[in-house]
Amino acid sequence: MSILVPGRITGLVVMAIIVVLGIWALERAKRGKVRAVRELAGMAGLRIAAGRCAEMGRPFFHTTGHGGGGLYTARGPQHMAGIAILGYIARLCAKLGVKAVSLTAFPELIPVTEDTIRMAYLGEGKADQVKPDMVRFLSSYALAFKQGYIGQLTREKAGAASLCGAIWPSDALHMSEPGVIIGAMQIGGAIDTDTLSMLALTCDYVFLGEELYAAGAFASENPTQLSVMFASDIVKIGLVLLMIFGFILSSAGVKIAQLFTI
Amino acid sequence: MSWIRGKDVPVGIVFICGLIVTVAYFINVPAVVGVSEAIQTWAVVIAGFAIGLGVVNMVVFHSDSIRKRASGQWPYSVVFLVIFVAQTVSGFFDLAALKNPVYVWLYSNIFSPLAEAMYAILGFFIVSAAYRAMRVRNIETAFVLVSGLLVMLTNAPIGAAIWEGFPILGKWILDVPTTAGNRAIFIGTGIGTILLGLRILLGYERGYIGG
Repeated sequence: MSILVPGRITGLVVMAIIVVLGIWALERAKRGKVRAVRELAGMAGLRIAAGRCAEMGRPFFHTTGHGGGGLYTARGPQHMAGIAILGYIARLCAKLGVKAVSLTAFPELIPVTEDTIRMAYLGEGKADQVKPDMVRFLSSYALAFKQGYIGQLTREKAGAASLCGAIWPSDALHMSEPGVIIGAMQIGGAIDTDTLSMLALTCDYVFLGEELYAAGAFASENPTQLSVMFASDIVKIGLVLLMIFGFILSSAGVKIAQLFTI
Repeated sequence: MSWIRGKDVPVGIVFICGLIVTVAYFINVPAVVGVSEAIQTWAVVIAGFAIGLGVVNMVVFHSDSIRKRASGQWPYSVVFLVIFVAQTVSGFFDLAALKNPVYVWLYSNIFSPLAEAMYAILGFFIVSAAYRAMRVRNIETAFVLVSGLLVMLTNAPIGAAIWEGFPILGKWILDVPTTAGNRAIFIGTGIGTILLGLRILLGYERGYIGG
């Protein structure tokens, strides 16, 4: 019996390459070799949205969505990325005196989001502005969660809303269309292409796929973290070259695709 | 132990657990796979305990809302607390079968209709969102309009009745440009997920412990 699981060896090799490149980029950045990275439009959108909330005296709502699973499921990374964005929103809100509100579908996210908001306000010297109602658990049942979100968003007339994380396609439209109706500025972010198409219809800014994960690095405002974007770009260039190489070999009759099934 | 800072312990636990679960996905060593499964079971159990936290959070929020007479919110909070208590208490009787008449009545006559109403609302939301999407303001939105119309004519029987080429064009849009775009996003997302995992395991990304 092989030690490596058959069918997963190619995945292991690809992951190892990405990890090695990521560590190399991080180490390179630690030595001061930081590459300039173009800021994501969504990050500017978050700043504009927080400013809008301050001008209107309205709260800034955030949710990482329902998405069919919480932190310990395959949806975990998306919730994590959403929480990193919440940290950035909370810092902006603390600076501008805006109330940041996080609505969550999973109870295990309560302590995480509470800590994120508290640390952000504490970091800006506004610990006194942290209130218990800033983190609200609604329901782990998707429809009840959406109803709660829509109800509280519209009753409190949020100035802006961020739907970044594990968002389902139907959730995306259910939860963002009421934001359009009340005139809230909205920033969406998801990895599912079906969800992205819905968010594109209703949101002013959208973090597309990988950008959702990259937003966490931008939110940290740490050049070392941003350097992993460089590794990501190198991998993507490599994959494009691999696709061209594969196209040529496949056209020449070489069965290259079988190499990737080991 | 001053050399261990406050957040080093959780970061260390995440690193060890993350490494074991990742390695176990790729290797056939029963001991490692067993530990990985145990870690994942713990995660489910710990998350299960958090439901109590969720109940406390909801009760505190709605009680405060009533106490402060929060504008627009407090009547709903009263409704929530009444139904929450009724549903919970009735659920304790006939716990195994959940056949208590009050529980079943509340579920069938309050919970289910409200849940179904959400699906009904979606139809109206799709229409208003589609209207916004189909407004031609520049060349990109013109592409959206034309592609959308072609795909609609592909799926609706009237499309093929008008012209046999509509289903072919619509299928091409779905199979070629749409699939190409989707795959580009999938590849980028896969790379992004691995790099986020790396940042978490190495302790750069600490959002889960408050940043």
